[in-house]
Amino acid sequence: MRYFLTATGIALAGLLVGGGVGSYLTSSKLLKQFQNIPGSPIVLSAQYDKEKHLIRYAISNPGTLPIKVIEKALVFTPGKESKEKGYILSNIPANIEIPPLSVAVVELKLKEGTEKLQPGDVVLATFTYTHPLSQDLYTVVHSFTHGAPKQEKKEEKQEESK
Amino acid sequence: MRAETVVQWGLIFLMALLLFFAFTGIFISTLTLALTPEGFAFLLGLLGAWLFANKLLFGYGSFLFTAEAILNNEEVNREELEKKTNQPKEQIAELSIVSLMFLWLQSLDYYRYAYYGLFTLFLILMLLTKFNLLGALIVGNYLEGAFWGAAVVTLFVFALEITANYLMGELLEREAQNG
Repeated sequence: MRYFLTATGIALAGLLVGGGVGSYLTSSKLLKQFQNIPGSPIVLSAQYDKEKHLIRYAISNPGTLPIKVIEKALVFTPGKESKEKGYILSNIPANIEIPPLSVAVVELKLKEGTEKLQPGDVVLATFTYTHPLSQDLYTVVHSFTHGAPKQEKKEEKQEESK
Repeated sequence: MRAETVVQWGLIFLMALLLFFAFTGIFISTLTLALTPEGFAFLLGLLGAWLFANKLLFGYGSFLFTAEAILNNEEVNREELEKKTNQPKEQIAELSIVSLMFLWLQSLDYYRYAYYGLFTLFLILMLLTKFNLLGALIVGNYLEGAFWGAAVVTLFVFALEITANYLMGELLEREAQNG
């Protein structure tokens, strides 16, 4: 019995260690494969700063490669309450690097001399970014509507019209 | 009858060929293992743990050889055995061979506790780095490699230790039977 327990104990420990070593070496190879997949940025939140007349975007990089935002653009569409005319700002240079698995704040200045944002105004922002594995340019488009209560009213109207 | 021999030798040849390719593969993948950072961490952990476990590996190893020699009724050099126990000569002059073996096994306990203690500390350190995703990606992965390298050495220490304890039990049993 003691002989059996000794031999079985050694065999079981050997199986555990062998399985552990094997799965570690295999999974680290697999992890390396995943680490080379660039993530696409996600805009977590957008907030309008009234005093500085800009919108702050919190952009997350879910991938394990750094992402570089190189260009910004915006399309301003006025709502019903605004007296401002619609305009487009494009090719705003930026040099913001978002490290892997983290969040960066990107500021987007609205056109100087224009009115403060009114509820219902829509700002369509386009961020152009690159990642280290390719020379290509990618874009993320985010639509921001200023003022939350106005949106709810719109939804109600849509329901009524249906 | 002749057909059977031909088939058998053919199968043996095929088996030898497969084993040759398998071992070549293992050899090449072992060489390329050291090229990846994880494989290097594994080898580093293996060598580092071996450095600490060397005294235990050789101590239990020579204990096993001596215990088997005693069980086979071969003659054992008593003076060498007395040196291994790390006890004053006057105290152990009248002890039997089996008692000396017991003292030898006990003298290895200090090294065993130190080794297992270090291994456990390393295990805890490795697990602590794994709680955070970034930490796991930056250092935890390599610490885990070193841990698995150390685990291979610990397996041998564990196997030698419980085999030594088993043989010590056999020796004591035989001593009790002989009176």
